[in-house]
Amino acid sequence: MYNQKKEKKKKMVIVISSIIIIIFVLFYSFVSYRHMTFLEKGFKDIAISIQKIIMYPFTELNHQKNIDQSDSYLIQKNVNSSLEKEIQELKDALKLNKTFTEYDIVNATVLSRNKGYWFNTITIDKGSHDGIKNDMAVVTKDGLVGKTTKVTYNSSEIKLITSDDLNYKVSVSISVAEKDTYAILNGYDKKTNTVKVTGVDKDSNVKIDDVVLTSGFGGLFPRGIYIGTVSKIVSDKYNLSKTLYVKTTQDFNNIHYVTVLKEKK
Amino acid sequence: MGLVILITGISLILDGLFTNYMPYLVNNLSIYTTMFTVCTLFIIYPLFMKNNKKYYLYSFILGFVYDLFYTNLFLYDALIFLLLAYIIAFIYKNFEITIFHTILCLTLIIVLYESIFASMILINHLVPITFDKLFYKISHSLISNLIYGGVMFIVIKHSSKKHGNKRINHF
Repeated sequence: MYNQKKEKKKKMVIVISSIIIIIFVLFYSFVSYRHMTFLEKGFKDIAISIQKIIMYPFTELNHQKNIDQSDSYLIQKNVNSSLEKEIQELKDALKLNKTFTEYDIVNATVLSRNKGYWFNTITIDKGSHDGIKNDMAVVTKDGLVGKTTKVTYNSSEIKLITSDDLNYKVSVSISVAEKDTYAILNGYDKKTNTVKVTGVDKDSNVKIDDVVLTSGFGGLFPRGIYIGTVSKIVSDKYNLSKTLYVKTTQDFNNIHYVTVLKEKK
Repeated sequence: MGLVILITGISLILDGLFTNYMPYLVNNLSIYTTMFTVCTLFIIYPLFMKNNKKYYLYSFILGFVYDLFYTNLFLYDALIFLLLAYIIAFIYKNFEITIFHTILCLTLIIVLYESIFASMILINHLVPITFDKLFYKISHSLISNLIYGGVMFIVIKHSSKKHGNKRINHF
């Protein structure tokens, strides 16, 4: 009788501790700033190698592979205009942000989309082996698509700019005739299929069709990467700031090849 | 076991391919969104011939592989697949499974999986999720998965008849 009770108690302890461990693991798994463990990276790399073989027929036959996406007219045109501005700023003895020319490129193939629908991330076949680190800008010929996160030896996850992640913000500049206006890109409007730029100064003279580029602030992204053009302007209810809806030329459902901008050593 | 690995392997590969080449943005989702691997959990149970321990272990490993390939989460799907495996084993134990039941159960599994996932994201305050958005995701995940589940059910049932009920003893 005593032994039975003891056995029952032991079972109860095991069940309760298992539940606690499971809940802890589930929560830990979702922590956004979590770094991948060494073991996890190892397993991920093995999975990526298998995935590369599976995806080979679908990725290798496409002529878009290994093309430098940052070489497109849309990107270079805006980068050049940004560089001109930077030269002017240098003349004015201002401290220069990192420019596009200070970056190397790494062309990569998209292996998979994250099945976690809410995250809006994709996985590419290049990782720390190719010099990629966390928080590097990722572009296609149509402009900025996102930044790298969770880098392993031969893969990286890219968080798209369409992500609704509350912790994901990109500093942008809007090219208005007289001077640039700065704001924050965060979120995606599903109804209009546009990315949202919030915190625009209410007095700024932003108009429809103004071009939105990365600002280079914060040191994450180089200055002047094309994002899109303003398609709608909405003032908040207290008229303290404006929200812009930015139409991109990028089809975020159809990204198969990207270029990662890697800082030059 | 060979058939189990073949079915789950095909499901895993198809899941990746469909997600890569079909719309998969928040609120811009294909109505044929696939969750074949999750559905496979239900379909393969009879192939384990009531060996629940083996089935639970296989579900856990399948979830772990799914995490590595498609989610970048740490053991999340391994644990959720294990939970779903318990529920599936309970269903098979207590109900006779026909094609109608298969479709009903697959719907339940998809709703459960998506609801748990959305709850975890909400609790961790990662992405703002509303009931409408969750309903949108679930409704867009039903068509192809129920068709796939139904077809797989028929294939396994046919296979069990062909090999005699000794091998697959749940039909």
